[in-house]
Amino acid sequence: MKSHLPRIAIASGFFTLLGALIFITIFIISEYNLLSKEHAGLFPQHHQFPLANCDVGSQKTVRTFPTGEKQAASVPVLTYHRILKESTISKQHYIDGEINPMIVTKEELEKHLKYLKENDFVTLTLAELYLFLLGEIDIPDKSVLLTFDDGYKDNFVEAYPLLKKYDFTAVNFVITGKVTKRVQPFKPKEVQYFSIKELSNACDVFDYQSHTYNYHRRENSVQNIEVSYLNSRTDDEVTKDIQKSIHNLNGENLAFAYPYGEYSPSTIKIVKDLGFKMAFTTEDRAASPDDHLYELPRFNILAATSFETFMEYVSN
Amino acid sequence: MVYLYITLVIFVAFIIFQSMYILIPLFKKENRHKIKRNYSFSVLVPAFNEGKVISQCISGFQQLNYSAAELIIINDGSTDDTLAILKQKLKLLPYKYYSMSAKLKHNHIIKVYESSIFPNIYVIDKLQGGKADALNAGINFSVNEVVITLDADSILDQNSLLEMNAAFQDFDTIACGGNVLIAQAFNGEMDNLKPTFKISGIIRYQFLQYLTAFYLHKRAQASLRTISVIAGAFGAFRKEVLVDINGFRNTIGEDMDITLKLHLWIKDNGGHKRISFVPTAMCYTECPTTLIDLFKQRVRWQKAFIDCLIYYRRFYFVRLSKRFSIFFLLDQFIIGTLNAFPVVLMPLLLIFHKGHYILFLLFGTSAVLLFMYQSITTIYVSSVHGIKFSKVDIFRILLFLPIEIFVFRLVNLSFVIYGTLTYFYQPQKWNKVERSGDLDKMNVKIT
Repeated sequence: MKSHLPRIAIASGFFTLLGALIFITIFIISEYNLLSKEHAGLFPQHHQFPLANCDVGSQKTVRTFPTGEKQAASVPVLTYHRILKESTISKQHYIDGEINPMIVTKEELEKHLKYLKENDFVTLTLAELYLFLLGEIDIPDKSVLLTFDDGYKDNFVEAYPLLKKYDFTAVNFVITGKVTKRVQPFKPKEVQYFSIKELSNACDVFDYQSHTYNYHRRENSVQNIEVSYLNSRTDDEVTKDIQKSIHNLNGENLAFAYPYGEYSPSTIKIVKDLGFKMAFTTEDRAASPDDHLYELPRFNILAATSFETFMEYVSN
Repeated sequence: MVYLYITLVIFVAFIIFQSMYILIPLFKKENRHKIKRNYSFSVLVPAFNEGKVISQCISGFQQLNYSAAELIIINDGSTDDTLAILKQKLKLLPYKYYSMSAKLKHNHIIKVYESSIFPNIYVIDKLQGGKADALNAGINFSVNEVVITLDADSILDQNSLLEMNAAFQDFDTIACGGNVLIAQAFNGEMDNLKPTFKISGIIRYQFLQYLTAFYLHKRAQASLRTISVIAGAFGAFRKEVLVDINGFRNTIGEDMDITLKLHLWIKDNGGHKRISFVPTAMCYTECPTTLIDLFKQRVRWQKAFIDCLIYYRRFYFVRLSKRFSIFFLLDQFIIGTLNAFPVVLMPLLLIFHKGHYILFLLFGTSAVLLFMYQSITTIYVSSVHGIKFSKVDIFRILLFLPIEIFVFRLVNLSFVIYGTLTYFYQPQKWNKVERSGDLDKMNVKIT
């Protein structure tokens, strides 16, 4: 028996190593969704994001806020795009010597969130905002709606942990065709978008809504000015594109955000006809029940937006 | 995507094979059969320009503690002083030999000699015909029951034939592989050799590789009946079977070829006969000491493998058992050969295909860890079989492992690739490795 000890020790060592390797392999494969079939080009229009375990925006329960406090007359809706750590910003993020205006640093975002937390702000859900705009519920004076546009991967890597830390929720307007099936390693220098796994992992904080399927683009119009696809393409084409995004989002169509904030009366009709309850533009105002539901204003938070401006926005 | 699944399947197969190669040898018991009879042996040594090493080989034979054996050296048209050395050392006298029943075909024999001072040593001087041809001539000449094939640069261990005899007590065993060790890695007297790791890197690599190949792989393969090559350096065969399968085929890798032929013969004869491996039957062989010689040797081995792979293509799963076919095609061809291409091309693949680098990294790390663990198992299993390293040497081995994996294995893989590719336009061309004659200067002392 004694002579078997080293053999058994070596064999157990081997099984331990093997077990560890198998565990790590399975972990990495599932973490990066490596076995899912990556699509060439856009996210397949007939596929859906696996968000079965998520509360989508239109299903979220509406909180009853304590009465007696000062009630809000309007709500500031803030828009962020890319969120990057200061240390990861490099020359790729500069355009003509100026930092890309769509980038807000993680450090700056944290300052914002900290400010909101310390001043007892409540982050609304879309459903709550909707009922408020209809005049059906009252909400605290210190309410805010956070939105992120386009569905960048850095929203998951950098913004999501911060939002979680401060216990806030936000809306992410996703260009659904850009979503990947596999998780890509995070490269701050590149423009990367959410993967389905990340969508599902972050759905406790983010509520995903449509920002078109692949129409977040511009082209030259007859007058040779750059026009958003939503305005340059036919109504039929635009409808089809947005329909695809709704399908990707499992039929979710509570709110829409116009790319570049550009829209026309016919865009509003399309969005309405597709069942959306409201749509956002990029006008720098707070939203109130007086606003048209399909032309809701949002404060755009840009690289150059100072902290003072931010405080002004939310104090309205 | 398909490639990803293929990669995964190959990787899983690799892990399964590695597990077998670690676990089976660890727990396998080598049963020594009761000696009921003593077989007579003929040791065949084909010699083409082996003047530098042949004397050592003869001395090894003379130290055997097994008397029922003859040594037959076949001078295959050497152009150096091999024959002169033999004549001088053995005091050769002409021996009358009439090939009564030329069972196997081979090139013309010029003359046969017999040593006048040592019993049972013969020299066949023939026209050059290649190693297989020389062996066939030796088989024809031999009258004994078991044929040993031995390379001229190899020295038999004193107990080697005694151990082979024990292995052949099992009537179902038709052939046995001997345990080939690296001569340069042993110190001391022939009856008391001690392994050492105070040797150059290239010899260290081969030493570890041979220990792993023989103590782990061959022992596991013997249990599973999937031995794919009885090393040409030291093998043993029942003569009647050799004659039955028409001897050796003249090809670049006659040792793998004869092993495959034996597998066919086993299957044709009911499947219960077996090829064994005898770890206790040892010989010490001189290994290449320079990179260029190692390159020549490995390219030749690889060409030999590809040659057999193609030559026996119709027989997999038909006249070769399923298990053997799986081992040969999956472990040796796909994992051993095909896999070399992506591994060596990995840096290029990573540049063009960034997305998968995590998986590559994962597989790479896993392979490295498994190889290291395998080497550690090798050290343990070798020590159980009497190859005991000093503590300092074990420390040296552990320090050497990263170099072994990241330098020597990768270099070897490039040889495998070169051999595979060049096979297709110069299949039979092979450069014989020059004997360094290090056996003289070597640590093994023959007294």
